[in-house]
Amino acid sequence: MQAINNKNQENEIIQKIIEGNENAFKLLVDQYQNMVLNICNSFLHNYDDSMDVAQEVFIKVYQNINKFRKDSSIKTWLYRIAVNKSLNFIRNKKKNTIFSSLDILFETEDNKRKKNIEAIDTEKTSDEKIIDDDNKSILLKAINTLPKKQKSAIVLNNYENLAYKEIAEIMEISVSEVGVLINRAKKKLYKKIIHHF
Amino acid sequence: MKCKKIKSNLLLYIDNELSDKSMKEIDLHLKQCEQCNKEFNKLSAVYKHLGNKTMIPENPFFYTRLRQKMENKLLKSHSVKKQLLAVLQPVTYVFLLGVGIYIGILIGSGGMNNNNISTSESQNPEYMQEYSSSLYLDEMKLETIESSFIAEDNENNEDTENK
Repeated sequence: MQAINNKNQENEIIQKIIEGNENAFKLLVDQYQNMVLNICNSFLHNYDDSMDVAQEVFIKVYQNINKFRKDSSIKTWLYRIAVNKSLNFIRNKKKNTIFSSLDILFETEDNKRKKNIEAIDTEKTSDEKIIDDDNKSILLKAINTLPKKQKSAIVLNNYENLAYKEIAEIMEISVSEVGVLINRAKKKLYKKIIHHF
Repeated sequence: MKCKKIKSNLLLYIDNELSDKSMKEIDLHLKQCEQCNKEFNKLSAVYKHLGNKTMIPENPFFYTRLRQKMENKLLKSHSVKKQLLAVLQPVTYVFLLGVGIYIGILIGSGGMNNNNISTSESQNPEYMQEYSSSLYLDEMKLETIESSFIAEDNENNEDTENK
């Protein structure tokens, strides 16, 4: 498999995709699918959801490849789309949970049985793991309550281990703004976590 | 440092983003203050998960699934267009028919005659006088064809009697 190593190759691949070359698109997907999948997972923490959103990212890339500004790299563009798609997915999911909470009123016997089985499984796991899982879910809930920009900055910094400069490029803001967003996010996270206990 | 200030800096302390002096101060405070230490332990137990994520391995079927999804989307958009066309086509025909009928009614009732000049002129007495005199040009309005023949016949009779 040919890899995209430099800007010239990248431009060549993009041009081929614009011309409708299927193999060029496959090459792009093969090269970046793992990266996109893991960016989505940094936000969503769920395999199936990440898979869905990652596919949506590449569909958007395919549909809008002629709008791609060649002054930034395709990697940055993919990051940007993946972040936006993931944040939109979280927002839509929040809306849907309001409706799905109504389903609890009409819970079927099957669902009740499933929940009982899950509860028995949980009992089998160690106390430490339960506490760990609880703490993890407290953190994820706290992150999900952050405003969109703060959430993006803190996830890209802590889960994707990106430098402030890279985050600034992806979010199309200044480096100092990234610093401010991360600091504010941490202060809010502190309040949310402490408030939980 | 007071407890409030210590607490507000705890996350920066965990991330090691404070000056050496502040780090040492918080270190010391946490050893002495039980309440702050408790809060620090709870916070760090949760905060340690920040950045911890399970890496998803490469999926060999990713591209195949992606292509499938793209084709499904394309089919769906085509079927939506077809459905829309199936609804819009009869609606357009009915609308055009309605417009045709309406125009027909308007023409029939004379409602489309917006000749304001004739209306205003009909209210002008001078015009009306001229108009009424011009009516005499059309003899049919003054005398029917039958009375005209009778009158002509009478005139002929009178002529022959005189001769």
